[in-house]
This record gives sequence, C-alpha cells and structure tokens, in this order.
Amino acid sequence: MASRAYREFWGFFFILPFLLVFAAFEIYPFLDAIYLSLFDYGIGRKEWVGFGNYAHLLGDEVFLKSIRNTFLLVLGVVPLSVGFSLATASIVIHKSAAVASFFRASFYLPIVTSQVILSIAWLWIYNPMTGVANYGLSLLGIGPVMWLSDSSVTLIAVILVVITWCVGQPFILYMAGLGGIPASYGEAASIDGASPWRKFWSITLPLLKPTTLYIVVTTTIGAFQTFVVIQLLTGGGPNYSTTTIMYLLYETAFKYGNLGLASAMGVLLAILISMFSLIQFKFFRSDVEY
Amino acid sequence: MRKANGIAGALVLSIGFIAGCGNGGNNERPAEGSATASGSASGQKVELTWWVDAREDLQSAYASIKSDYETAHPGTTIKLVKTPDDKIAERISIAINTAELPDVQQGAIGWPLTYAKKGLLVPLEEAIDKEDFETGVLDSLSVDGHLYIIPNSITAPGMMVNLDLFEAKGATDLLPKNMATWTYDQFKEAAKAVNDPAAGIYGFGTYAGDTGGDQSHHLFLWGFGASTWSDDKTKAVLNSPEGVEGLDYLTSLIDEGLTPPGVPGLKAGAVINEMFLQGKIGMTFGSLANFGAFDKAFAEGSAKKFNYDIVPYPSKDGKSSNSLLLGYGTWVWNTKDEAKMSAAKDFATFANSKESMAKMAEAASVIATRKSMASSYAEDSPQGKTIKLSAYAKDIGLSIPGYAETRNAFFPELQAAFTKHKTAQQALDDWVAKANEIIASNAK
Repeated sequence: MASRAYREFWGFFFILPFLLVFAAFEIYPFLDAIYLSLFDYGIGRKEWVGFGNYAHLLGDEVFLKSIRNTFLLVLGVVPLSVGFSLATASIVIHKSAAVASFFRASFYLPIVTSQVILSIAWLWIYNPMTGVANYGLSLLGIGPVMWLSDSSVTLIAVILVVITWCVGQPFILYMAGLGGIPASYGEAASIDGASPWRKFWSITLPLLKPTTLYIVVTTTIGAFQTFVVIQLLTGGGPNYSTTTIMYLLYETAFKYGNLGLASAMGVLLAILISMFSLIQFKFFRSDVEY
Repeated sequence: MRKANGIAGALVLSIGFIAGCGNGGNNERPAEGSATASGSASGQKVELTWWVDAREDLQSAYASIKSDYETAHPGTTIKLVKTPDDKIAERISIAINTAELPDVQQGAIGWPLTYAKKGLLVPLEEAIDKEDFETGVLDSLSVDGHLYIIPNSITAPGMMVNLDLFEAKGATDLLPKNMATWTYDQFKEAAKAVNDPAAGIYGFGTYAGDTGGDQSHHLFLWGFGASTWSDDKTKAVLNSPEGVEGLDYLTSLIDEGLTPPGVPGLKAGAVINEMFLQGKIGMTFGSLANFGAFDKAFAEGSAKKFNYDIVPYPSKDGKSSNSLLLGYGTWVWNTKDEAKMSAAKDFATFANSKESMAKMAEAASVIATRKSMASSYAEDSPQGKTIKLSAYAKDIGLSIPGYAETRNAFFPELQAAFTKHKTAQQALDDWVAKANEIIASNAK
C-alpha cells in the first residue's frame, strides 16, 4: 500500500510542473470566465446580471448565426480532413520511403507556416479579378465566383482554406497508425480470400480507431476555434455568413470591450466542444491492442 | 471509471488542448504599455510612453519632438512607440484591460472619443491656446464641453479621380472643374464613361468588407439629404427616405457593373491602395493622406505614374457637396497616475506647439490645424483643394457614445443590402436599431 502511495506521489510530482501551468493558464481562466460571464463587465463597468448574458446571447440573431456557421464549418472541415488524410495515408503507406517522406513534408508544411501568411496567400487566390481560383475556373468555362463576397459560397471558401492546414497532422498520425498494424493480419485475411476493401474495412479501420478518435476530437476542437482565417479573409462577412463563435467572441471582447458577454460566449463554446467531444469519445472509443 | 475519464478527457481537451488545426490563435503581442513612473513630475525623473501612428513621413518629426522635449525637460524621458493604425481599437481595448495604456498618444481622431465618456481620457482644453484653432474642429473633438484631442493634422476627403483614365476615354469634360459641385447623374455619366470591365477598369471604387472607409458611404447618402445622426447627436436617423434613396442608388451602381466585382467583400485598402493605385478605378473616396502614398509608390516604381485629382462628392441637386473631418491629433490617457498625467499634458502641449506642428507640417500629407500657420496654398494644389472640401465638412459623429461599435454594425448591413439579403430600408432600419441600442448602452 505504502509502495503504491509512494509511486503515485512521484507520479504526481513529475507531472506537477505541467499541472501548475495547466491550472494557472487553463483551469483558472476558464473558471474566471464562468464568473465573469455573470456580469455586465466592460471598460469602466462591472454589474451583476446573473444569467443575463446567456439569455441575451440565446436571443441574439448574430450569435445564433455564428453557432450555425460554426457547426457548418465543423461539419465541413472534420469529415473532409479525416477522410482525405486517411485515404491519402492509406495510399502513400505502400509507397517507397522517399515518396512517403515527400508526402509527409508536403502535408506538414502548412502547419509550420504562419496562418497569417497562408490566409493572405488565399486572399490573393480568391481575388475575384486576378485570383488563381477564378482563372482556373475560367479555363473550364465557368464564370467568376465571388469567393469572399457571395454569402452562398464564402463559408465553403473558408472551409477549403481550413482543410489545407488541417490534413497535415492527421496524415502523419495515420501514417504512424498504419505502420503499426502488423502485416500478418492482412496476410491472414488474404489467405482467407478477403478483398482489399474488406481488409481495409474490417481490419485497418477498426485498428485505427484510437488514432481516429484522437484525430477527430482534436480536429473538431480546432475547427470550432477557427479564427485567423475568418479575421483575415472575410471579417465574418458578408452579412455575417462566416461569423463563427470564436470570431464573434474576439470582436465582442476586443472590439466592443464587452468582456462579460464574451466570457459567456466562451463558456457556451466550451460546453459545445465538450458535448461534441463526449459524443466522439462514445462512438470512437475502443480498447484496441496490437 | 471509463466514463469519468471520458468526461474529464473531453473537458480537458475542450478547454485546454491546442489543436493541430483551426485556431492558431492571435499571435499579436499585447500592446506595449507605459513604463512605471520612476518619480513624480516635480523635479524627479518621469518616463512617458508616447504611442505614435505609423505614417512614415511623420516619423522623423516625432523623433525630433521627443528629442526637443527631453532636452528641454532633463528629468523626463519619452519612450516613443510606433503603433500601426491597423486594429488600433483592439490594441487599445487590450491595453485598457491590462492596465498597459500609454501616457500620450498621437493617432487618428476617428475613434478615441468613445473613451471620453468612460473617463479614460484627460481633458485638454487648458493645454492649448484655443483661439488659434477653428472652433468647429475643436467642437467636433469635444465631449460634454471638454476637449479631449488636440488636432494637429486635419484633412477633408472627397472623390479621387484618375485623370489619365478620363483623358484616355476623352471624358475629362464630364468631371467638375475648379472644385465645382455636381449631381449624381453627372457622376454616373462620368463613371460609365471610363467603365471598362473587360479591361478590368471600373468607374467607381466602393467596398463594404469592413469598417475601413465607411465614411464614404455616409457621404454618399448625405448627398441625397440624409443625416446619420439626429441634430442633438443622441440617436441614429440614417433610415430616412433620403438615406434609403441614397443606399438604393449606391446599390444600383453595383448592379449596373460600375464598381469592381465583389463589393461586399472588398476592403477600402484594396480599392484605394491597390486598385486605384494600379489604374483600375476611375473614381473613389480619398483624401490628401492618400496622395503621399501614391507619390511614394510612383517614385519607387511599384505603380505606374498617372495624374490624379480630387473633386467634391456629388449631391442630388448638384448645388452642394459633403465632406467630413479626418485627421490626426494628440490625446492623454487617464492612467490614474497624477504625476504622469500632469507631465503627459505638458508634453501634449509641447507636441502641439507652433514649433512642433511646423515640423509635422513638413510632411506633404499634413495641413497644420493652427490658424496662425495657415499657409497660402495654391488653390489648385491638393492642400488648397482639401481646404475647399473642408467647407463642406459635417460631423461624422466621433463623440457619439459607442461610435466605433456603431461602425462595426454598419458594414454588415451594407453587405446585406448589396447582396440583396435586405432591402435598403430593412438594412438601414436594422442598423439604426442596433446603433441606437449601442448608444444607449454606452451612454450609461
């Protein structure tokens, strides 16, 4: 018993630096945000309003639009990123080491590049008159698309940008996950006459569940928190069609100085992400060992 | 246990995980704030932080003013911090919330007055000799009878024109001569004359991507007889029949293809500093402040030189025009440190003395605001034309409580009107309702 307590002590001792930082910069701000969300708190004012900020948000047309946009963004980014990176990794894993390294580097490049620079590059790509995107479409005889001005396509344009820097990490993780699956499983299935699709569906995919869980959860959280691309490309427009919760939170806090309302948005966003993550844990959790 | 771990994991991930995609966060450093006073103003050492705007042609003047003041006041050190104008409201908001405000600031006059009502600015009426400034200018920078910004460079915008484009189309006669006023019909005829979408050239450059340059839209609507604010500046009234007619007319210019494609997503900077500068726009909103940037680009070879001019904004009856006062000035933040605030006021007075203002006025983009320094600019010089435009200036509402917030609510409504999600009437009604809510909230 004493031995167990001793081991646990040293376990906690070694993670203490992380726990302290986590408590100071994550837990405390989160609890403080909950507290502040109960006030009309801004420059020169701090008045108790209880759940007034939450009531205001749930009746605010722009905030409701931002929830809708955020969900659409997540629903667009997560499946496409996960599907694309899984498909690509499944192909590349069978290529030579040099080819695999090339793809790893290519996919990871957007992650180590500043999102500001990438967003500005996309601003040029989406330029309605001189952008590459419309030039490419013109070669196919398709008229110019107002990527950042037409509210029916702007969110799609944003999703495409976010995906470009969302696939790098899943690709690397899937490459590692696929590399960890023993070849003997596939060989045994082949002897039994399983098709490549059957092997992928019944062996590879289930064994990748832990990897998929991690990727889906982290990509979802990242997509929920999309901010830079919105700020630099669309400013939330046109007509609030790309305003996400995170962007509205930033505007409310730092443009309008309404910190209480922004804190309430942050709390609601955290609740939404937690709910999504719980669902994902429920569906993707497994005790795979191999 | 597994369930508990799952909940804990989800919560931890949701509040603490730095995900591999999406956010990246705002990597901007928090604004650099004022240093701690190392003593009082009474003979002891004081360090003042002076944020200045980023206009390149003014930096040497700012450095010289700092040096002169430090020489004259050995106990005082001025920490000069060049602060980009971009996102300045957010920078200030962060600085306020982290108690990192500068002591003195030199910048655009368009947004600080919002903070006067909150007691964050120091009254400066005693810091200047008011008789040397235009009363109207000082009034527009005052709140509740107190002056909060010392103006040192004021300009009045109008309609910038690419003369070469009009000359190429033999259409220069369509433009007003000698700063004469003109009608919207004449304006549209001129825009049509140079409009050539196949060549990527558009008659009128407008935009609604963000708040930048949104004054141009107000000017446009004012030309139809609309007012943005009530006479007593207590509420928004832009949804008048005149305002609706103006917004309908502006939308019709977009519908007729006289503007660049994608107006709802275009930003003023892209239209003025890129498209107009590259000779793709016949006419757009602008002022003397833009000319310096154009001339610099021409000199550096980053844009092909062309002749430009500025004319008054059109109006419905063509008998008058509209403009407003834009510009730069100095203000002092209420840092609650009496010694530093006193020293800061003294420095603000010094920075706006005749001698200091003369240094600023050496920059081509500056027209000094002291009456005693009014130079005899040639009538046809950009400065001379700017002075004529200033005669049409109306109050854009800088002292309205929550003015910056009302601007943030304005461009989404323009976008809604331009993309036909709302009629002009609905868009203006919605903005007026929001603006009045903002005013009520900020006037508390």
